[in-house]
Amino acid sequence: MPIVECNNVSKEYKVGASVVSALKDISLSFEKGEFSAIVGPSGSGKSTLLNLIGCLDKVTEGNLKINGILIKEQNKTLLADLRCENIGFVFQTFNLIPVLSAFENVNFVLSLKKNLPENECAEKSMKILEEVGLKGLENRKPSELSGGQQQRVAIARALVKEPALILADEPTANLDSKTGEDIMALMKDLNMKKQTTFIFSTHDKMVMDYATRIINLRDGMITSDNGGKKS
Amino acid sequence: MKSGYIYRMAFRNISRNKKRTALSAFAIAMAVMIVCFMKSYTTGLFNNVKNNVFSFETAHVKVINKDYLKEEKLMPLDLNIYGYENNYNEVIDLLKKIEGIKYVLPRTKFGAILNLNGKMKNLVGFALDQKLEYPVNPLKDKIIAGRMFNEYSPGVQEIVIGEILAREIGVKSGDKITLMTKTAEDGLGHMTFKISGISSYGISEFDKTYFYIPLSAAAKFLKMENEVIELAVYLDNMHRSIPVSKKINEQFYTQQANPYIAYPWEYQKDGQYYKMFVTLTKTYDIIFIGIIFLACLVIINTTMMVIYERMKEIGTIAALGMRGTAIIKLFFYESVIISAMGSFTGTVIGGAISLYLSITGINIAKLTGGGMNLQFSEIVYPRFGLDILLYSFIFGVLISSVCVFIPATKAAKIEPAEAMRGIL
Repeated sequence: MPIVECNNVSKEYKVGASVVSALKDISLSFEKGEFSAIVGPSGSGKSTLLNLIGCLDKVTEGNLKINGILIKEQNKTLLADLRCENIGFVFQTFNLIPVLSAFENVNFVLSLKKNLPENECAEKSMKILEEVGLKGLENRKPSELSGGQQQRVAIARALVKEPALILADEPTANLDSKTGEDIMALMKDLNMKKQTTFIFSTHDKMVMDYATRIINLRDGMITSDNGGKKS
Repeated sequence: MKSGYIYRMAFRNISRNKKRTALSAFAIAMAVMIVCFMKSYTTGLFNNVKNNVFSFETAHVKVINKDYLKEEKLMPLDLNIYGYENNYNEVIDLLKKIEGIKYVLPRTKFGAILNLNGKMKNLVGFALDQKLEYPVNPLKDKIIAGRMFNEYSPGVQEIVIGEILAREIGVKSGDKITLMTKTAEDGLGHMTFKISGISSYGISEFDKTYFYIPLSAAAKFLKMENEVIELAVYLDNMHRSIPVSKKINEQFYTQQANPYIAYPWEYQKDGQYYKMFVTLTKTYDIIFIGIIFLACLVIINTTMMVIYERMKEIGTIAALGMRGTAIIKLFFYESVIISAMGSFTGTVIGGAISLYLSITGINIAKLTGGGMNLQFSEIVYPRFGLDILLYSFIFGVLISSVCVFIPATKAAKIEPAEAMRGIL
């Protein structure tokens, strides 16, 4: 069963009196362990597609399934639980909670899961921070960390709950090229080790080089999809 | 989500903008301080009125002659309680059989004239049994000069008069005054009394026109041997005055040609006055809600600003899987912490002011220029008590916390994609 399954998905936004069609009749699926990039110019619909896959928005038409669950049938609370259990997010601007330390930012997502004991949460959080190379920095607030370190915290936060899927929105856009490459190498490594599905949106050539599957979007439609076979 | 985590986040969030938090807490503190002091003051005033009205005027139930009511303003001494065969004690004995009655005090209130260098001064006399009266109306404790009167015996005719009256007529304890009155036999009576003491109730009307003599002296002076004007009945529970009055009246009807009636405080003129104060106190509670609500507008406004500022953060935590209820809790806790800080400060300051004034008192007569013939003392002592402090604190926290639900619910309803539009 695919992790993500889009069937004839369309998304429209109302802007004032007019309707903007952001995605048109998209059909694609992602399997477990894929390392895919959605590429395209600004306004092509990359972020909209990631929003829909991340259950942050609802489709206008068509069906979207995450782990076999039909999204449009879920209410707000069930969607929050679905995100909590199945989806990790890595944002372009890191989006760490400024009042929490690196450790607490990671531990926060585990605290959303009711059935996990606190000491187990703490252990997991420390372990994942170590894996992303932040051992010794766990008590620092986001403002005390560099951009690369913040993105590592964000990756640790996305990975700690061991989701089936991680969505990353231009994860290297705010990083210098060296740090960006380190981050991509880290994600690739984790993808290989844990078989977590990664989907990126990007403009970055380097990110595309790391991706095994590249989907091109233009004007809300898929113009190409290599299906995981690089030429 | 675990509440401890939300609480920790809330606690840290409020320290993000310390000045704004301080301003919100200050607004709540000011409002709670006003509420705390006003509650102490109104409770003090209310207790004062309650005490005065029930001690002097209405009792819990007043037993009087049925016909007395018709001519109450004239204070007719012939329409009195004379018992059934011998004296008023027969009625007291009857009353003592009824459950719920704590004290029965025989009293006679009458008009008298003081002749002072050719000028007449109208006074009101209170004839009472000082020993029986003490638990309810401790006149002895109100004497500021001299001593309590002694019971009447030939040659011993003593009186206690009000402080202002003594000043006005220029007398002190040990001096003598002669009073004239219309007796129960419709004749004119006069008696010269030695002033044994000067009393002060702090109520201008009382201290200016009231004097007190023993019932034994009134019996001679008013020609009321074995008779009194009223029996003031005090109950274990003042709110049972109507059913107890009913029982008393039922007992009275068993007597042949019964001339007496039990009259609960609720139906008396001064009882209505007390009831008005009860209503007023409730009105004050509504005003207090209004005061706190005004202060809460600052918290509501702050929370709305915070939500706007933290829109991206709200989107992020929602994206990470935080439920709407947890987001409401987060803002709710923030508000509870700020309002608890403000309410605590306000309660401490308001409590300190109330404590100080509960010792020194507030001279209402000075503030208002005097001249109020109302049933409260010129000096009002705000009541300082843990219940009032708790009331103010809980009141502040509760209202301001409830107020923040509106913006917090709004925050929880924001779609994560909307909040993060352009980010993911």
